[in-house]
Formats: sequence, C-alpha cells, structure tokens
Amino acid sequence: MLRPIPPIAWIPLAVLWFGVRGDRASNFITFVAAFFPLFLHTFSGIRHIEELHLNAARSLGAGRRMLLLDVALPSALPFIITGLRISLGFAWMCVIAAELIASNSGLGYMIEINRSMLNTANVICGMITIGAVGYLMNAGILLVERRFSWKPLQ
Amino acid sequence: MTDSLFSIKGLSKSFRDPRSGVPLPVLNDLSLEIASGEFISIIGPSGCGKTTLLYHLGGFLKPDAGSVRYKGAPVLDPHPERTVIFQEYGLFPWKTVLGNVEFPIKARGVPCRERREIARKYINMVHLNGFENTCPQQLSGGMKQRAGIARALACQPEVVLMDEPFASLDNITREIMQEEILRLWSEVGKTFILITHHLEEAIFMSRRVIVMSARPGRVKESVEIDLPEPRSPEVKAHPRFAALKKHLTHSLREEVEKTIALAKRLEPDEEPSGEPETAVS
Repeated sequence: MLRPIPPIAWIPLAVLWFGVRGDRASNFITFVAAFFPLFLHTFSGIRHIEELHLNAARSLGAGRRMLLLDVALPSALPFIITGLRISLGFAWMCVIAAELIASNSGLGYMIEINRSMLNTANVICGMITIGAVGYLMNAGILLVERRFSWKPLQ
Repeated sequence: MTDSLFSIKGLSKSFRDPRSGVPLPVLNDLSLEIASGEFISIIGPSGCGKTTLLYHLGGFLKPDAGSVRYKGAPVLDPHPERTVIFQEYGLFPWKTVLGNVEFPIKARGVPCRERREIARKYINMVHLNGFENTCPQQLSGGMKQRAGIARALACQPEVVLMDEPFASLDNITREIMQEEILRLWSEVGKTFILITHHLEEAIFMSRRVIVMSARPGRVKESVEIDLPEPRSPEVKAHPRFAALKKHLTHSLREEVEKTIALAKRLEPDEEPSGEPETAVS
C-alpha cells in the first residue's frame, strides 16, 4: 500500500507534519526512501536461505541463536548488502530533492538559494559535491561487500 | 546382534502431490531394527523413499503412522548425535573449512580457543590439513566431501547418516572416499547408515544391506554381508562378493522394473526417470 508511493511524493506531507525549519522533514523523506529497498531485499534474502543449510545446521546441533547469527544472517548478507546499496543511492537522491523543496539547510538548499541568485558556478559546485559524496558512499558499501560477501557453491 | 539403536515400526509417510493434492504414499508400513556399531546400507530403486527414511532417522520428518525410536525414545527433532551428511554436502559457503568444522563444536558451547584445537583434530583426521582457511567453493568435490565428513564427526555423533555421499564424485575419488569412510568407521566405532543406489559400494562397505521395495517403500530383504574383514579393494575379487552381487542385483532389478512399470502406468506422457538403470550397474 505505501510502497508504490514514491518518496518524493511524501515531501508535501512531510512539510505539513514537520515544517520547513530544521532537518526533520528531510530525515523523514530519507527514512521513507531507504526503508523499502532494504526491507524487501532482507526479506527475500531470508526467503532464499537454502533448506539444505538449515537442515545441516539443525543436524549439527545449532540452537536458535546460531541459526540466526551463523546461518540466516550470513546467508542473507549478499542480499542485505545489495539492498543497502540501493537504499543508499535512493535515499541520497531523495534527501537532495527534499532539501531543494522543504529545507533551510543542506546541499539541496544551497543549490536552490544560488539558483535564485543566478549564481551558476555555485550551483554546479553543489552538484559536483553531491556526485562526489554519493560516489564515496557507494565505494564504502562496495568495500563492505567485498569483506563480507561469499560466492555460492556451484 | 546387540540391542538395537534404531527401532522403526510400521513407519508410513505420504507426501501430497503439489499439483493435484493427491497424497502419494512414499513409505508404507516399514519396520527395521538397526544395532549399535553397525555399518548398514540401504539400497532401492530411485523414488522408493530411501531419503525419506533417512530424514525420519535424522528427525527432519514426522511419521504419518508408526514410530521411529532411537535408544528407546521417539525421534522428534534433529540432534547432533544423529548427524547427517547430505548428498550436496551442505557446507556453509560463507565459512572457511575451519569455520564449518567448528560449527557443531561451537553449538556445543565450547570456548573459542579449544574449539579451534578440536576442529583441527578432525581436519587432520580427513587429511585436509593446510586447507583450514580455504572456502568450500575453492575445494574439489572429494575435498568438500572430506570437509563434510570432518564436520559431521565433530558433532561426536553416535550415528552418521549418509545420503548418497559419493554421488557426485568421480570413480577413483569415490573408491578412495569409501576406503576412508571405512577406516573412520573402524576408528571411531560408531553406527554408519549409508543410502546409496550403487550396489557394489553397498556390498563393499557394509555389514548388512537392506533392499527396499518399489514405492511405497518397505524393507524387501536384509542381507548380511559375510565378506572377510578388514575390507580392502581385494574383496571385490572374492567369489562371495560376486555371489552377493548377483543375488542383490536380481533383487534390486525386480524392484526397479516395478518402479518403471508404475511410472508408466501413472504418468504415460512422462518419461520414466533415467536413474534406475544406473542402480544396477
């Protein structure tokens, strides 16, 4: 029900609820944007745990704690990290959009102010900064992915 | 024989056909006693419920009727005392060999440092030393199987249940693994139950071979394998081996033919599975 509503469409409601001052409206939009990709990926990661691994773990004496921490979580981790990457990109996009419209701080707000003052150089500077920060965040997640992900057995 | 470890009485199980919802009986009124310390093989045509039987022994399935008792108590849940080596090994690809072998030791609550030492002992036992920090996907089939065996032994099981553990190995590796399992069996003195459709393997490895009938499966006959001990590849040339093989081939062939006939009758448009032919080779 809530998922098909694009996070950007929440901006007007967020402004009504939280006001333009401060970060609360854009925090809310970021949350809405990040929630579903991560949730759905985690969910399908858990659903894709192989019966074989669960059976093996149970016949090796794993209790609930080990089933969760040593089997379910690492098994779903590649999905979770993918979800995290998508969530991050999406949230970054939406936080800028929210700041453009419903904020009085942040990079989006800075671009918007400079646009109204016809200061093209600053607008482009803001865009480049946004790109660079997004790139670095993605690189960070890739690093995490390389550390924790495993390749499935053929 | 000594008193029995597993006592199966009147075990029946059916599965619902996912498409039509019609219950399909897989095991019907199966009774079997397994003594402690035995090496027993269960053979039968494919689809006769061998794996279903093993899953009952392991505690993964609940019987529709009848009972499965282990040391006198009904089997309700999987337990490391009755550990299973699966056909596809079931190694955790996100753990190294050491991590995999440590898993059952960790489940027992052994502190980290001791855990490592115990795991190394089992890894040495299957000659995988040097591969502790390798991930399963980098191992060959035979080495994966060894890792699986080390992990199962690390459970300190009373019974090792094996579901066609050599199915995906090449012939030579298969023979080597058979001998290794026999060596481990005589070393640890536990009960080994092997599901296979490879007749020679069953005769070579076990002290008793159970032939299961076509679906719905029940015990057709139980054959004591009175070959000279300890078993070495030479027993395959023994005249008794040939006689046993002839007898069991005949017995199994009857059931495979029944299975094929059944498949033809039930589903005329579907091809009968190709697997039964390999069963008698």
